Amino acid sequence: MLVLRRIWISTTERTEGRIETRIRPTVLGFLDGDIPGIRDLTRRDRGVFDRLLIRYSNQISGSKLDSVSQYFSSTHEIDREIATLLSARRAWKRYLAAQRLGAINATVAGPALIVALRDKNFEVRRATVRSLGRLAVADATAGLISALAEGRTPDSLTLWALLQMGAPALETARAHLANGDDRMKIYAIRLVELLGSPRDSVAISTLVHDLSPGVRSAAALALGRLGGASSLTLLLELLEDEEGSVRRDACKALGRLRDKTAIASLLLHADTDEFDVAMASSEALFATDPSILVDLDPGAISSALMESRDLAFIERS
Amino acid sequence: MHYFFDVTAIFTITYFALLNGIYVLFTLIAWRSLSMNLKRRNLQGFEEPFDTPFIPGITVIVPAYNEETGIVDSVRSLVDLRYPKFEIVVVSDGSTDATVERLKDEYDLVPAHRAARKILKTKPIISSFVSRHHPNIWVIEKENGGKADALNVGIDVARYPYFCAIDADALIEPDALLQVAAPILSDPDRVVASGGIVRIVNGCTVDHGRVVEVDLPKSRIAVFQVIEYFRAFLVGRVGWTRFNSLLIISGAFGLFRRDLVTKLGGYATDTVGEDLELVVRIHRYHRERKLDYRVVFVPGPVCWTEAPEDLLTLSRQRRRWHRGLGQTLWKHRAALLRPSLGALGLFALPYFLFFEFLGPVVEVAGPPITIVAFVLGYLSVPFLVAFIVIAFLLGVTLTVAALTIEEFNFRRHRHPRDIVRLLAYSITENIGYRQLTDLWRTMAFVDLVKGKTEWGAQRRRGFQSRSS
Repeated sequence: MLVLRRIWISTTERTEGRIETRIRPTVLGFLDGDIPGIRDLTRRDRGVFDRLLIRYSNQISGSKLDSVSQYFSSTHEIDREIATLLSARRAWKRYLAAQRLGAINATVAGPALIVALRDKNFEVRRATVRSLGRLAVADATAGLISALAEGRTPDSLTLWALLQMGAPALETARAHLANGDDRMKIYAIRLVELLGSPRDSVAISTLVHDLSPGVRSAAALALGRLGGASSLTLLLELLEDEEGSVRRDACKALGRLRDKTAIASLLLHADTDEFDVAMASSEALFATDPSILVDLDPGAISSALMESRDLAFIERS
Repeated sequence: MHYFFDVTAIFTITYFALLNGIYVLFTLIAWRSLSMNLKRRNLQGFEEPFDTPFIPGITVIVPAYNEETGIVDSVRSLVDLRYPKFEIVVVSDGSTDATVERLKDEYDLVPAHRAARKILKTKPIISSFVSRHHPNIWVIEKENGGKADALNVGIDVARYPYFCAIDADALIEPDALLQVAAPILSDPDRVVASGGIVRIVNGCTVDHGRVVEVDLPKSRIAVFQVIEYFRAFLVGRVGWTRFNSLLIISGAFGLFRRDLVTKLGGYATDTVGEDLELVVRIHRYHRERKLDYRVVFVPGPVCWTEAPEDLLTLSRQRRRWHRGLGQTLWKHRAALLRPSLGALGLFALPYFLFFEFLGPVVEVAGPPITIVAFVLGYLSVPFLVAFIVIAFLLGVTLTVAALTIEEFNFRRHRHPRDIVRLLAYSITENIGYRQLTDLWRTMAFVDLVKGKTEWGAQRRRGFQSRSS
């Protein structure tokens, strides 16, 4: 049975491979606006055509991507997938529908996908987040942020989806900077860090004295990326924080700022016994001014500084 | 005497029923779990979730001892990994061959100090190098201390929050790190370790560190191992993952949270089964503290590794594995049958003790006892024949089921003739090969009593390149 199945699969693959080769110009023509080309396709050709279109949709944008969604809308594929996403009993069917809606650029599926963020199955929610990010559904920002806070969706994927939404996500994130939940606040800071501008550093700087070390760390990293007038002073202050992880992230942030006035403080912290702080500090020095490392006496410096010093030598050579 | 044979018969039948019952259960779980995987696979896009600044970095640690034949290909396969943030740390464990020189030539290594946390106790580092062209490749030379010690050095110098331990004779597929990290990224608070599938590279064609054509090995011994690996990974590990009691994440390819492993003291250097021992310790740590956690197996990501093709090397490997199992079980004997540890104490550890560790003894002792019983007239011949036929057919069926899972889900062997060959070997492995491995595993008891600690020499053939 296995052998027969294998032979059948090999034959099918060969046949579909031939169809793919034959209709690939039709798919490319369709994406360039040549609609009539698809009228002569047989039912089997259509199946391969759809598959190729989904595959290409990962690599295209703009009007070409719109033509993909128009095509699948005209075949009622989008309606079918939305119905499956919202009502199929089996989780894998809902999962597939959620994935496909993103793949075929079904922008009209936004509201259905937002509902699916509350699906009882984790994998379905994961696929939904992926599609919401791919479609950049602005209305989904609030739903995504609450899904994040409640731990209903994976952090990295949800934050990625929010990043795809740009300005609406930034607005929502700014509003959550004062959220009472530390976890929420950290996510908001990270989004503002990546989507915001130097003027956001004013709001972030109020969080460097937060009671939660996680919030202080996130604020430090955000200030390092955003810059702003008072960032350097605040980061130098954070170098004296009671928590090692905050001091480490303050060093990292100073490395991002690359302000030479921080060198003396960084040198001091690069010589501590705390490995992570020393390492972050040495790397910050390397980023700020590698030449300062080259002149250090190898017999009198920490292991972390020694590593950065050797890397500085290699870079120079 | 009659009483002895009655007890033996009852023990054998119970043992057989329990063992095969577990196998059948795991096969059903694997079938269901992997079928779901298959349905989802076509639309899985790994790129988006990984194309984000929120991805944690991974340090890939490659412990190497006299690996001059394959180390360059192995590192090349790592350089091509599709993952946004990773570094490669090769730790040469006092190699006496040209392992480091090969890497120096290939990657233009220059001496550079590498800072270490010095939290884990290890043999001293002698020197370290960084690649001029690939600043994320580091090579550490240290005094010989064994694989676990080399891994601990890698953990101590790692810069990222996760580390992936990879054997120096292994080739990793470009997407493998992405895929093995996926469960951790989906659920970073709970998933603390994850492992991928290990496949046998013998017979495959390798080009610049990538397996470009999958073929079955010419060596019969290696083909038997291909089948064994299917059973172990596609059935066994999927099943254990279902019960959150996966005890083995292969040393050839496993991803762990660095701070957790450091807190637990790193890999144990007093056992040759350091990969198994670490995972058991991770389970115990979480279960004793009632923490919510997951240790998972991911069937998609592939690590290709070279299997022994001669009996001597294979026997050494099996004896070493069994010795490692024995040492781990002894070390964690306090966890055995402890209800507070849940499935670990009541299911996984007892299974590994009674069926994996003591199983070979039962299987080796079976035939002589049967012959004696037959000679003394204590044995019902029809019963014996029926038992042998059922055992044989069940063994073949379970192996074919594992093959079917592979064929339906992954289809890595492209030629239909490979399927025929694998099916034929599924039948013949029960005659000779299985008994031989049981014998070697039984001999491991002698090694354990003698307190043997070394790994034994490994004979490497290197990868079969396209040009060769």
